Amino acid sequence: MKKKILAIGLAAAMSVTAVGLMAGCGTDGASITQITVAFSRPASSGTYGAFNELVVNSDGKSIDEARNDDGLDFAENVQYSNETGTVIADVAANPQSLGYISLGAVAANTDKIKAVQVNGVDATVANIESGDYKLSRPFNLVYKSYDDLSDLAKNFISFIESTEGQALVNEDYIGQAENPVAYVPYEGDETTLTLTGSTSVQPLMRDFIIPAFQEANPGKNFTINLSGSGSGQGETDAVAGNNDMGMISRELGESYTSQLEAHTIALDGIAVIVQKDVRLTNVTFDQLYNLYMNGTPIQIA
Amino acid sequence: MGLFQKKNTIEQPQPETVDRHEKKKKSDSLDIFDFSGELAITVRDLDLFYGEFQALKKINMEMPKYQITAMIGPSGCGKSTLIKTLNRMNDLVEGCRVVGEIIIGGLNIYDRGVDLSALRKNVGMVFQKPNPFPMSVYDNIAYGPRTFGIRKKGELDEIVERSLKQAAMWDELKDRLNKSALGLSGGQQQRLCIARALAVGPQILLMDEPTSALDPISTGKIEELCEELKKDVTIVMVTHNMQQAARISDKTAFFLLGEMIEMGDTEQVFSAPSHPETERYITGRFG
Amino acid sequence: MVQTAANSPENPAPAHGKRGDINVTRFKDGMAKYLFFVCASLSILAVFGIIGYILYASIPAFREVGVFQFLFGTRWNHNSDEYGILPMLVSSIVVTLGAILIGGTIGIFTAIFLVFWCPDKFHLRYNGQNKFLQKVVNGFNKINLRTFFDQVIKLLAGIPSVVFGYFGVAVILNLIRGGDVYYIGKGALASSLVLAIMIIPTVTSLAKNALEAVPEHYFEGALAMGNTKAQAVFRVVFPAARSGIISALILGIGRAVGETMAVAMVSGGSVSFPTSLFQPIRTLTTNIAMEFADASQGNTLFSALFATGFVLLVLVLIINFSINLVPKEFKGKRGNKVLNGEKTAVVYKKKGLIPEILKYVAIVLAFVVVVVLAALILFILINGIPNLKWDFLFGESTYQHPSLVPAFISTAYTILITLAISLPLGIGAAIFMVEYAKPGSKLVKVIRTFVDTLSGVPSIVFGLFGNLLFVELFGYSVWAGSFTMVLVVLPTIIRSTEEALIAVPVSLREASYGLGASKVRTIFKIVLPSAFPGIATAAILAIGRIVGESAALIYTSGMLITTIGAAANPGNMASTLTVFLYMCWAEPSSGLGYDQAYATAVILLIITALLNFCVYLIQRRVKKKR
Repeated sequence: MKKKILAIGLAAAMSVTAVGLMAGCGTDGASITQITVAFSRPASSGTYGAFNELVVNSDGKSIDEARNDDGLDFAENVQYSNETGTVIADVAANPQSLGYISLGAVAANTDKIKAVQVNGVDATVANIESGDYKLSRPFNLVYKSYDDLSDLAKNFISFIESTEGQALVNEDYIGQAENPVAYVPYEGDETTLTLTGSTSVQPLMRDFIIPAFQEANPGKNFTINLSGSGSGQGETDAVAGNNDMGMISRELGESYTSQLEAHTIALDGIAVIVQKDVRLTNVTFDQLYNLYMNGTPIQIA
Repeated sequence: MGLFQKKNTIEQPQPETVDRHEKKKKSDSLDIFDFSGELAITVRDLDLFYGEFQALKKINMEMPKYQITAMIGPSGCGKSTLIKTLNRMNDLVEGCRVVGEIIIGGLNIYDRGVDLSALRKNVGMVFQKPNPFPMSVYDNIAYGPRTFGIRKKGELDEIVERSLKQAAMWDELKDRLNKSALGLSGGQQQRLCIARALAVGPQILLMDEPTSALDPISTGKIEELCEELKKDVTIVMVTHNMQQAARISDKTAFFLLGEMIEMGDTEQVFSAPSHPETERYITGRFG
Repeated sequence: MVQTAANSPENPAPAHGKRGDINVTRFKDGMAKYLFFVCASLSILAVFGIIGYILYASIPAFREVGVFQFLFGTRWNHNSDEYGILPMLVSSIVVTLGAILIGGTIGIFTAIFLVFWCPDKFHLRYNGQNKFLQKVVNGFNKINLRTFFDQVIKLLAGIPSVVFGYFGVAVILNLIRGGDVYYIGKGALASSLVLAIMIIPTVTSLAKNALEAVPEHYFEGALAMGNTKAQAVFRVVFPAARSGIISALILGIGRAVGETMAVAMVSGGSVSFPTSLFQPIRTLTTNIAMEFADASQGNTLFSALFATGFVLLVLVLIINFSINLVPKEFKGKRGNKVLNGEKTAVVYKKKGLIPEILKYVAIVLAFVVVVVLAALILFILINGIPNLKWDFLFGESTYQHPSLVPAFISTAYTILITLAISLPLGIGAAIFMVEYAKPGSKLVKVIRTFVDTLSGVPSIVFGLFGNLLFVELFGYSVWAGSFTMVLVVLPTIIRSTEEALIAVPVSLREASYGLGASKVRTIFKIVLPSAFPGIATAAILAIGRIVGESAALIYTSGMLITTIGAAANPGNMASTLTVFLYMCWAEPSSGLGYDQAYATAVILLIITALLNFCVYLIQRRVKKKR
């Protein structure tokens, strides 16, 4: 008797696991006819700030103005997703949703998601540079004052703005150095650099700048701490002196303009993403505004 | 291949089919026992094993109705084991196996299909250590009747009062019915447990060293109570106290190493034991 | 009691030795007392300090926003300076109630099953010829099922909550969606389910203890009266264990209210009321985690987050306080005092269908637990083991291809530093409370209340505090994380040590004093060794807590990929294993995703199992000694 029950129990356990795992294979995105759910980053995110500032409805009112001046809330179908990575995971898991992330983060995840046109313009580096693609924002490094930066930090910035650094930046972003020169390796003894803040800036640093910076300085063994969960943290840490430089993926916040200096290192697009099989190809600002603020679904033709 | 060859070869005493049918029909009722006979309990060729160890060997006993039967013997002689087989409390013990018959009220209680609830309702038990539940006095006594479907307040009240009176505690406790039973003294707790057992109307009351944890005055009260109770119920008592057995029991059985050495009228056992071991034990020369 | 004995060191017996010895002893005694007092003061300072600071820091928010507006406002948008926590408060309560309703019920019934109906062994039979299968079957039959279940449940109670979050994301959300893409799945239901699974082990093992503590003779007494086993269990034993079971539930509630990261993974994060099971919501703890990054000292958001912490603190206080309200004994229905003595024939009937049904409920729910727990463990193992690659576990760690080595190093550092500080402090404080403070002293009672309160504070609040104080002091670093963890584990260590010390019989101390030993000698040679198993268990539990912590560490020692060289210096930032696991979900990159997460989860499972095994060994040794 009991052995049977136990056997059944074990079998059930395995089947539940199997079901759970198989369910993870996802749903068919191609058959989706409308987008009903929208993901937002939390308020500390620079991408959030830039997106809400840039997306305007047909009356020219931005999401930010609606939320902060008119006291309106996001519609009920808007969910928060903590980090850049979770937006990708969430959108990939739900074909009826869309979200926005740094354009630089799209290329590595095209097996799960795709970027759609905004106002009929492809999200490409070229279109951002030409100004046709409207959803773009700067990446800034922030600090109290340039003169007080450590030599290593100054050298790090010089690397980003060097010809070598700009070549890396320009792969997925738009470099902002006007006349890049060849990089001069670091001569000093400092080894530690702490950068905190935006999760949108982190891929640029993690995948391009930091490894190359280390390589460009053979014989040195740098410890570069790269952490944080949003642009807000970059600013607050910089004010508190908890980092060497903060990373923010928008303009410097108004309340910090008197305390911090910002150094723009790149321009980045904000890509509107959907699950990779969804047939949606284009969204307009008005559609985005209405989805986020009024919960109006976006129909897929 | 070998699946069907290795059958369980141990023979189980199969109850007769007719009996089982009858029991099934009656299974809703608690009165499956017929206590009209002279004997309350008959034990026949009882062997009991704990795993490999044989704790009781070929026990044969007859306990007459409305008498007190005392079971004496040194520690480990099996008397507590035996008393627990009488209402099948040792079913709880893992690896315990019983061979033989115990006939109570016309039924072999080890037959399949015997309802344990019905058995224990009719064969109550009082333990060595008083074990009142952590409830009020009233709820302790009403507990048994409630589990047997008595919900009406009037009936419960009556049972509580009758049981407490039977246990000669009514006057002590009638003003404390709503107090916790755990606040009573040890002797009171033990008598409360007797009252609790009486509340479901048992025909037989098993007492496993009921006074061993009590002082002499409480012990005296319980002995008096037993004398009173045997008008209505048959009592089987395990005791280490020789004087107690001599004072209150009608029959005495002496056990040694899992065997029943002798059983007879108490007077006879104590004055002229037929076995030398019994005499040596009673006179305190070993044990 | 101790105090009478404590007089002897004041007048040490002039037994043998010179006068000088006595003075030395006196000096040592005085020093020791002083030392323990300092430990106690530091611990108390920490405890009072953090609670006081949370209060102090939340005042500006209450003042600027207004207490009423803060508690009952429905909008939270720091860009427009609106701080109302009502939706989050309601969400927290709803999610917690859901969790306790599901997890608590299942946990209690599972405990009942384990104590009363769980078979001791598999009774598998195999008559075939295959030697290997025979061995397997015999091996299965040898397993003691109760011990096995017991250990599995303890194991699950120790698994980091982030692992449950992954289970929620990958399994529960998919089951909820069930193919219907209309539901995103995140929301109150998913959160409640994840929390329910998380608290089942806690509730089960505590409820089991409570049921086992009920004296056997209650059970026997009920059976002897003709109760069936089910009746005896549900009508006598269960009510008798009531206070313990309610405490188990309340501890479960505490864990559910304070959970942050696992909930953040499945709740959806919107500031809205849980109007439906699938409405995305945000709880109080996840609110702190999500808004944390924007908070800096002096802005209203910062204060508002501390105020959120303060509200959580009050919630925890209410929960703790309600433990004390649980009556120690249960009272049955009241009987009549005046009885009428008329005789009527009473008919006894066989009743008790409900307990029998409950018995089957217990069995069924226990199997649900077996299924869920088996699913959880299989889920981790199936997904994780194929990803346990040498390079990932022990290889060089780079930004593109992170390995676990920095996380191992950082976890080890965090454990070492945290214990090196919290053990002496906590044990010293406990010694002061038990051995030196006057018995029944009000101070001790106050300390105890504060320590208990602190132990219920959600760890994200410690993260907030640690970010403010220790990150300022040490910068983002393993040091800052470790000091924060000191605050997290200190209450557990103080209380467990205190209990272990109290459990040492007074007679042992008296015997030592009676031989002329000084107080310090008695404490170090008699009391502490006797209490050692308890203290060691407390230390292991603290290690478990450190290993499993995520919320308090993310904003103190950082959530990042780092190199082995950098992790070797605790002055740098480094993520512990659990934070690394969370990062795999939160900030996936080319070398960091679900594969790495499951592998890390397997490692965490192994560590938890090892820690449990240590506790098991200690407890077995203690049992053997007795």
